[in-house]
Amino acid sequence: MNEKIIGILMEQLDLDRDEIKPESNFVDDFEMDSLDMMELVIEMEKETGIKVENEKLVDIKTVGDLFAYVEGVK
Amino acid sequence: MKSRICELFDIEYPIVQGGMAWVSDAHLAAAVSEAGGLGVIAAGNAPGSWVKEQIDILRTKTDKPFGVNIMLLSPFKEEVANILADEKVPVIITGAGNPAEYIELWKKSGAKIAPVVASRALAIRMEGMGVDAVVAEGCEAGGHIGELTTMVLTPNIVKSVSIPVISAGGIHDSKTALAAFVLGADGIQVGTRFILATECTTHQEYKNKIIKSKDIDSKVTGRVTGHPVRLIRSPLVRQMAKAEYQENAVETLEKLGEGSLRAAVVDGDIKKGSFMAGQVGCLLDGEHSAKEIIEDIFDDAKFKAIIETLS
Repeated sequence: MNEKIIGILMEQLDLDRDEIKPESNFVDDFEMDSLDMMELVIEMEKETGIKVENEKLVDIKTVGDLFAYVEGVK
Repeated sequence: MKSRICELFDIEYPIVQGGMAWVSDAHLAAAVSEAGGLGVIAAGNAPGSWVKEQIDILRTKTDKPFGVNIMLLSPFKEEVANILADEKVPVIITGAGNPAEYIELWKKSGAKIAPVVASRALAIRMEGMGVDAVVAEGCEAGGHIGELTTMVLTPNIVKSVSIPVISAGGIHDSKTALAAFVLGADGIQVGTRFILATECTTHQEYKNKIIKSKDIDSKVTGRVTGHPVRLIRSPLVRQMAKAEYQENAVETLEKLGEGSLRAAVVDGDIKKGSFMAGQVGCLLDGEHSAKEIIEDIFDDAKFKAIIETLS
């Protein structure tokens, strides 16, 4: 599942695999804004079927946070 | 559809292909002119010899009218300006500067002159200098942009000058073309969609990047330098966004930008390239010939259907 999320990020941001780490911060490291996060979440939902609730979205700041969230709802 | 622009430039359809540095070479321009639009070679920062060579190639492919876009910030502007006159280029489109010193020279050579403008005052000033038309380019366009949107800039310039106005920025299909004419334009300029022309020699990675881009992938960098540029999100754009608010921003941005357009157009370098494109990238989904693109935009049945939905 984590690899799927990494794949989406690589595609969305033209990142290399080794640039994406659990501690990578979406805003500080990838220059993503709230619209970019929405794009990521929509793509993830399409690919994995996992929905991210709006109120939880604000707490997801790093790639690791997203992995943990997905793990929790699986 | 006919307009004053068809008469002025002696073309079949009132459409001008955007002059995009590195992208708009003789191959693309000839294909557009041959299909009944105005094909345009972009001089960009290229030396006069390159421009002359492109004009020669174009003339082997078509005998229809064409234009050259001269970038007035170019270090070679003087020699390019003279070549355009010597070669009797039918239409000269100017960008990024004031063409005042060359107007007389070009008029004598018989050229029609159309500067790209991003504000009402600039359009009025250009009309006063005797140019034949203006290209009103809204900030939906790719590459170097102004602040105003096509929706506001076009009607404002239309009501401020009496020469023909060519609307640019966000125009790519019959709906957006019709919208430009409703706003009072006499013609349209299309850039990004022509990058996807099959005759366009731009690297396939560049074309793919446009095709897969989404709305929010369209970014503007370099506001701090006073020369903002619209392009598609990429690793380079992220680096530029970071640099924009740090010390020595202007120098850093200039350094990052150096050679980056060539890297995108010629090498298709995803990491170092700057993939300039208008916001319409997200609406485009494939490659077509220049002829197919023009006929798709000026499709009378489509125009009629749009108008019918309004009544």
